[in-house]
Amino acid sequence: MELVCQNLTKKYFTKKAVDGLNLKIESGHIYALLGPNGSGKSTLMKMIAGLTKPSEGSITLDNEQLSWKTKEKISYTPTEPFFFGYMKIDDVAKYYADFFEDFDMNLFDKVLSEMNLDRSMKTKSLSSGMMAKAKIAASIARRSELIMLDEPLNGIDLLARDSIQELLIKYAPENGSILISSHMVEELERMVDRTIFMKNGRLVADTDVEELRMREGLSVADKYRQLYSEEA
Amino acid sequence: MGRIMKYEIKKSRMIFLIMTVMMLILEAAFLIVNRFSINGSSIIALFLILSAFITYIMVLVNGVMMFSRDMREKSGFMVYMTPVPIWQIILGKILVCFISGAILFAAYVLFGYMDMGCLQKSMAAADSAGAKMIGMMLKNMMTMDAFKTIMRVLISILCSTFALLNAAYLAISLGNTVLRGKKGERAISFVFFVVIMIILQIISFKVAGLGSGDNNIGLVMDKSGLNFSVAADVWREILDNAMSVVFGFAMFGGSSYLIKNKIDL
Repeated sequence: MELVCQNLTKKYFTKKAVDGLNLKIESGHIYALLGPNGSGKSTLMKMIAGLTKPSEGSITLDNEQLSWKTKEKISYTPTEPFFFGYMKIDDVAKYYADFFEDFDMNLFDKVLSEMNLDRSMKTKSLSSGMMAKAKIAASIARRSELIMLDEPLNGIDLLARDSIQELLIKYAPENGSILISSHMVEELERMVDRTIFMKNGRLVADTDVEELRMREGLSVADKYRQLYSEEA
Repeated sequence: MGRIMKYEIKKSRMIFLIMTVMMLILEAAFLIVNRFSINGSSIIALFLILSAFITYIMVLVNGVMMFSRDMREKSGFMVYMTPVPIWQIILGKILVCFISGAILFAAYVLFGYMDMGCLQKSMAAADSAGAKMIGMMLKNMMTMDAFKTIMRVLISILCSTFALLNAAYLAISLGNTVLRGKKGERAISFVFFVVIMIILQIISFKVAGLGSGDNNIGLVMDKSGLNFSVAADVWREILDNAMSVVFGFAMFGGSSYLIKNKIDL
């Protein structure tokens, strides 16, 4: 799996949310997408998911332009709750199973039980932490080539976060990738092997975590401070 | 597309349930009251007719609201992240409107015919002159001419509903393209809708002189009772319907294009 963004730009009226971004995401890695609020992370993910249209540039998946067909291979979980109001967790599972061939119902049930969730729960009555867990369970159970999680750890308690990170590592797609955006840099560092730093819609660094440690002697959090504390 | 339709129905099941329950309550009320009071059952019959119109409007409004909600709220991700072409998503939504409307309408027609029979019996038992009028109307409805008239009316309603629904969808898509979720989007969408409808009327009038009143469908009271009347010029009616369908598809294409290429969710 190879996702390539070329000269990707997204303008909202006069403001550029993403500005001339060139990026390659390859299979077999877990990527952290990092940057301060407003750096363009969510916009980038939505463009890859096909929910937002680029103003300029292109995105290809295995040399194929993004279209409704490539949505079969890409999973996107936004920050906000997005299930239909009438749904129980069981309905969510059936919906995913109906539309996505890669959805693994057994894995979904397994992840649900590890998160202490039940299929009979109404999504409307879930707390923010439980909703976040339910969304992640649905994403993990989709064995997509690219799984994108936009701030998935928000509102989740420490033990659950540890559990989720273990699950993500354990069930990462073999021939695919995971792209996670989060502000919990130190926690993310434990599970990712590549980092993408964005600032004002632009790519400022795209590094291998191990190389960062060996060459610059920096952790991901240190690199984050180095890149973004200058503007403060 | 079938999957999209399945979940559109599930999303709308509360409103469909309310409309069905409303119809069943009124029907039950009619049947009960008809045993005791012809005036009372006549009033309920009027409410049933009113309920049929309200149901038609509610089905359309629900269809438009569902479409708008998917564009404005995060739940739209559930729809637009699926590996289904945009045009199939929109067509699925339109078909759900049509099918649900058709089922409810058929139920009203069935109940209506049955209720007229019940009312006729009650009136005959009370030796009322109305019984004869209703009897003649029921008899006329079973003729081939009446069937053709009803079919023409139905086809006209379907074609104009298709155009109306697509006009609403296009207006919402245009509003979203222009304002991108900002304040005033609903108001601007409404303005677009009004403008689109005016343009369609102008084109219809200029192309075929339609909308001049000669092509209207109406209710006529004559010796045989209450009947539908349609314009004698069938070809103008066919042209009117054809134009509604063509405009509908053009607007459908417009909505699909905007959602696919211009709109951000």
